[in-house]
Amino acid sequence: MNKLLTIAFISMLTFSVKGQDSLKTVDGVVAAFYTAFQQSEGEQRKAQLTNLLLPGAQMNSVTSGAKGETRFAQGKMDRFLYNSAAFYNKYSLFLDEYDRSVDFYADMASVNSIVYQTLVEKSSKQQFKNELWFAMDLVYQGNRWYIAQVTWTAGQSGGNLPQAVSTDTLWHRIEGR
Amino acid sequence: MSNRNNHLLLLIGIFLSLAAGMDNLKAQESPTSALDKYFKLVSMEPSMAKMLFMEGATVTTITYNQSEQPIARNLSVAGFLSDLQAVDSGYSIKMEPVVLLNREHKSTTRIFCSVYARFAEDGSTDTLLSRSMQSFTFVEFENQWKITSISIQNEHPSIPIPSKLWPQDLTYDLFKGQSPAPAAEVSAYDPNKVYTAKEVDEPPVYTGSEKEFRKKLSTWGVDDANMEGRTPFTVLIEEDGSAKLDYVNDLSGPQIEKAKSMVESMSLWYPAIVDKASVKCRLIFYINE
Repeated sequence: MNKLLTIAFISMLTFSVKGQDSLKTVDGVVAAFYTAFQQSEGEQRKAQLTNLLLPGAQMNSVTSGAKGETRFAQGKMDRFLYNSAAFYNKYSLFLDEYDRSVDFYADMASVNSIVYQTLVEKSSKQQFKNELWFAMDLVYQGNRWYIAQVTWTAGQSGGNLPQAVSTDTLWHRIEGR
Repeated sequence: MSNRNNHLLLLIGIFLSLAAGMDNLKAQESPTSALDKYFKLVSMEPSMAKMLFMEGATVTTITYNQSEQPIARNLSVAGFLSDLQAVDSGYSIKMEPVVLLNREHKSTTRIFCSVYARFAEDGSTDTLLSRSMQSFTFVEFENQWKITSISIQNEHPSIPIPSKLWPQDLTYDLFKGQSPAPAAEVSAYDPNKVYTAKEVDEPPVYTGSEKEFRKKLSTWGVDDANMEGRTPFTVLIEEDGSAKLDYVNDLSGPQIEKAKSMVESMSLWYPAIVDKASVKCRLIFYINE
């Protein structure tokens, strides 16, 4: 019995270390964020996001209303968890990242990631698909990356979201001295 | 005043109001014009820049502690602008973006840009120049582009900003005395850099007497002059004057112990000075076999 407990304990430690190791790369943090974002169980979603977000990090969304007006929801993680609870109760969410660009300098990374989102209504099994642009700022601290802010913008199906955000436009600007 | 003159004044007033209104609208017509407005306001009157942010927006700053480890903090806009305002009270600030990487879709825009900043001390010719990378997120809300977040990383001394984001042909003049401040006074004191004794205006000085200092060195078989049979190591004198053992890779175990004991027995130093500011400085010592 003791042996089994020891093995279980070592396995947990290994899992935990591996989990933290993956956060040493931008790739690992972005992947872990999508895992957390798809997590249907509220407490697990909260625990996973807490591990990824810098204290005070913003989680914002930009969507369009019926008349095309911009709907902007802004707030910290707790507000997101509270406001999205009903949504997660109603839908299962699946994200499939298919394009990403990263601008980075030293301990800061600016990530622009495009995903296909599939929503499955739990009661009817009806599916809804669209694209999302996740814009994240990451910072490196304590030998790993954290998300300092994330803003996701909903695209239209068949839209030109990837071209718009994965290709940068370079501006050179210098005014007076 | 006649009625005709009154009408004329009224028309001029309406025209000026419209022109001002048009100017405001024009200033907000794109994220880049909002970005320009942000840099103009933080350069002139930082507290005014608050109107360019969404309520609840945050500013993330990355700084470094004494061990050169990054410390990231999320600040409220009020806290960030208040910090800038405090700097603004002693310095004239000029900030402007240099190269912008722009991504946008519908009501969201991201701008990743290099930024040039010049801090000229009021009543003095002392000027501090700095470079940073900044990441902005803008959202168009109620016909205005507003900032929802900024992340700021000042240039790290050992990681130069890539040339793509700081093209030499574009930026050559910025650090070559074309600014209003006299070139001879322009300096680039860097709080994160570890200087050598040759690079500083005033090298670190031990607070005890010269005799005491020499006695301490000889107790541990150490000298500050290189002679045959001695092995070099370095001691870091921090901005606060404390001494830390630094590079010891060429030393044996017993030599490291001696060097460590010597450093621990030292009282504080007067730190090195660059541009009237205390800086980190690395000193070279030599230890006997």
